[in-house]
This record gives sequence, structure tokens and C-alpha cells, in this order.
Amino acid sequence: MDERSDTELLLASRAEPVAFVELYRRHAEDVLRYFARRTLDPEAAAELTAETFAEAYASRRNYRDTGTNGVAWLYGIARHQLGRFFRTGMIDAAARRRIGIAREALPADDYERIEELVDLAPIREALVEALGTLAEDQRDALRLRVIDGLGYQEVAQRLGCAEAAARQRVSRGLRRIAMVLQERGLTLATEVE
Amino acid sequence: MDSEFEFLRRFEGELSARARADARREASPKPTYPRRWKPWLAAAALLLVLAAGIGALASSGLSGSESSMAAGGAQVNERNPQPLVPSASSAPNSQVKSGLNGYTLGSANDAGSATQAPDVQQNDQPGSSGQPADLSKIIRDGQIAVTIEDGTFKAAAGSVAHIAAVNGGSILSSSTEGGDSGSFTIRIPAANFDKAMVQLGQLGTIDSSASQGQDVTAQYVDLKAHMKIYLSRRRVLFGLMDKATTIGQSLTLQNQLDQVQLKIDQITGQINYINKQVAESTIKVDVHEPGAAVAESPDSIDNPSLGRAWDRAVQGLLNVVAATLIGLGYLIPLLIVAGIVVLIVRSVRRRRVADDEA
Repeated sequence: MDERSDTELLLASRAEPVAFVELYRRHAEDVLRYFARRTLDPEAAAELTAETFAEAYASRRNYRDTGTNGVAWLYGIARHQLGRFFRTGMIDAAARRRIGIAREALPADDYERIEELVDLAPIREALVEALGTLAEDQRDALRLRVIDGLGYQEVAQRLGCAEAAARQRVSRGLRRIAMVLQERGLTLATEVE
Repeated sequence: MDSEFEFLRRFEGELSARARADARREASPKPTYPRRWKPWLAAAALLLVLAAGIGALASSGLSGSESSMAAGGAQVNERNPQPLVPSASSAPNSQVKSGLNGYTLGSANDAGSATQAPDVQQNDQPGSSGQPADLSKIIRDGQIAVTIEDGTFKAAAGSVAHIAAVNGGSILSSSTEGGDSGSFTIRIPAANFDKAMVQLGQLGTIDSSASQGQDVTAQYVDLKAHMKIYLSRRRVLFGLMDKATTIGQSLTLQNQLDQVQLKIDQITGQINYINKQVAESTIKVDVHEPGAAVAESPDSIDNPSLGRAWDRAVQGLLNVVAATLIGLGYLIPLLIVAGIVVLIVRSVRRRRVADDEA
């Protein structure tokens, strides 16, 4: 167990790249949760997490110790990624390409686990209202999954589609809702930093 | 990593591999990367070519505007440029000295004019018809080459002399070659220039004919203005001289008067020279029988010469260098401005990213 602080790890990672991996181990799940609660979309959250760490690794030499915890710098990159996601609706993969890490599909098990990270209770009312802005298939999928709390297998049976398709409809619906709520200035989740 | 998320574990694996690879690269001696000089060289070459192009364009534009400005409606004589004005020593001395001070005091309206050469005033007085005088001063010169019939060169040479004489002029110089060709330079009154050119052309078949006009009006007007100022100054000095009570005052005024008179003499000479140049025209006449070797002036002989080729090559090189320098003069300020803009944009973008990350 590396006992160096986040700042020390970041500074050390300039000459000792492996030190950055320890930083990743410490904060990867927190960053994932951060994105999941803001995007409501497991796929987007996973992609944004990977891109954030890739960007941090690629630009670790630019980090300057300003007296604050090094992890604040990491969340600065995360906020930047999130802002771009909400502005464009797309997730960049430039940093991953730069360091030679391929984009990968999110495993099904991870998908549901990430959903569990999202505490939907505080936004349930806003969700119901935002549902009206969705396409019908997405709205049905979301209602079954988020409001009725059914598993994806059951959602797929109810909708008469494959489980992957059901997951995709839920994912797109949640992403759309997250954007609508973001536009309305609603805070979707508590801070994790 | 003990994360329950498989994708996070996978990503960690890839990140670790990348970090280890980077660590190995950091530890091993840094490979010497080939210097990226080619793009810079290409960019520099492109810049120079661009600069040369711009310089050539700018030079041609400037020379075009200069020639059009100088021409002023008349063609500039580039082949045989002559000094517009003689030096002070060549100016005719027109001063008349008499009395205690050595100068004649003129009349009240313009005393100085009484001491000037008469032809200074002759060309800009109103005409007898009451029309305003034509102040334009244009020096006209011409060249004409004529082919005459076999065996008629002697007669043609006589005709050239006759044409010069009937037009009030004379032959300044002549040269003949082989008894069948010759070159003549004649001076005639400017008023008969066109008539003389026509008559010379009638000697035979015209091979070439050209005339040039050199507008010296602006210089003439300047000289007249200076003359007026110096005449006025001289009048004042004469007045002071009359009132001088001591030998010291007289000597000082005399010294100043000498200087003013010298200037007046110089300007008078220059004005007379221009008047003379304007009043008379020079025509260079080449007359030759068919098949005769044309008598040419040394500067028109065009034999192949390595020396001349070398001179041309050097001249061409210098022209290219000059054009490039001119072009760089245009480009460098633009590049500096572009560089500043790029630096500002980069700075703003970095600051924005840093703010986001903070």
C-alpha cells in the first residue's frame, strides 16, 4: 500500500508513471459514482471515467502543486469532461487514443451495478416530469426500470424486445433526462469529492 | 485493484501496462529522434518564395507608379538621361557689377530682374495676344532610323544637314561608315521638332522612330520661386546697406549680399539651361543604304559576352534578393501580428482549461 498523498503521487508520476496507477485505484470508483449520479447513464459514466483518467495520465506533467489536494485537479478534469458531455451529448476518446487504450463496451453486470450507484430517490418527481420529453419507447422502458424497479430481463419481456435493447432504451432515456434536468439547473446528486 | 466493476479493473490493467511501458522508456537512454528540420526548411523556403513573389509584385507596382508619375503625360527619356541642370560653374554669369557695392540696384517693382539674363523671363511672360503663358516645360528628343536607296547616301547626308538648317538648327555630330551609312545628331528649335521628324522620315523607308518628352515643369516652377525669394532678399539688403553707418555693418551686409547674389546667379543659370533645353530638341538620325552595316553607337552593340552575361546574372541575383527583402518587409509585420494572436489564443485556452480543472 502506497502511503504517499494524492499530490505526491501526481508529482511522482511525472518520472514514475506507475505511481499514477495507485491514484487510479484510490479514486476510480468515486469518479465513476460522480459521473453516474450526474449523467444517470451507466455507459456515459463509464466512458467519462475512463476518459478522465486517460486525460489525467496524459497531462500529468502539467500538474502544479498549488497547495490543494491533488485529487481536486483530477475532479477538475472530470468537471471539464462532464461539461463537454452536456454541451455536445458526446464523449470524447481523444485522451484514450493518445495513450493507446482502446474503447471497450461496458459489461452487462457493470451496467446494473453502476445504476445502483445512482440514488434516484431525490429526483423521482423531476424524473416523472422529464419523462414527458422522451420518445415513447424510452419512456416505457424507463418507467418499468426506474419507477417500477423491474430488472432488465423483465423490462425486456414487458416491452417484447431483447434485454440489450431494453438496456439501451433505458440508457438513452436516462441520458436525455439528465440533460433536460441539467438544462433546468437541477442538481442530480450530492458531491462525492 | 479490488473494484467490483470489471471495466474499472480492465482499465487499470491497460493503464498499468501503459505506465510500465512509459517507465521503461523513461529509464532507458532516450533515443535520438531525427531532427525535424525538413518541415522547418520547407516552411522557410515557402516563406522566401512567397516573399520574393510579393516583393516582385510590389516592385513592379512601385516602378509602374513611379514611371507614370514621372512621365506626366510625356515619355521619360531613359536611354539617354541628361542632367536637368548644370552645376553652378557652368551657369552663365549674368551679373552686372558697378558702383561702390559692385551691384546695380534694380527698379522698385523688381529690381533684381534688371540684372538677370533676359531669357530667364522670356518664356513665361503673357503673350502679345493677352493669353496666359504656357508654363509647361518639356524637353523633347527623338531618334529615327531610315533606309535609303542604293548610292544615295551622300545626297541623304546633305539632306539631313539641309533639314537641320531649314528648321533653324544644325548638326551637332556625325559619323559615317563605309560610305553607305551614317549617324547624325542634330539640334533644332523645339517648335520644329515634329516637322523635322517628318522630313527626316521622308528621306527613305523608316526603320524605327521614337520620341521622348521629359517634363521639367515642376523643377522650373521651383527655381522661379527660389529666384523670387532671393531677389526680394537682395532688395532688403540693398536697403540696409544704404542705412549702414559703420564699416563693420557695411562689411557684414556686403558678405551677405555676396552670398545672395551667388545664389541668384546659380538659379539664373539653371533656369537658362532649362529654357535652352526646352527651346531646342535633339534628334539622332541613322541613315543607311540597304545591306549596309549600320553605324551604331557603342552602347547599342549587342555582342554575346561572358562578362556581360556574368553582370546580368549578378544583377538578376541582386534583383531577386532585393525582391525577397521587400517581400519580407511586407510579411514580417504580418507574421509578428499572427504570432501574437496565436500566443494570446493559446494563453486564453490554457487558462480556461486550468480554470475548469481547478
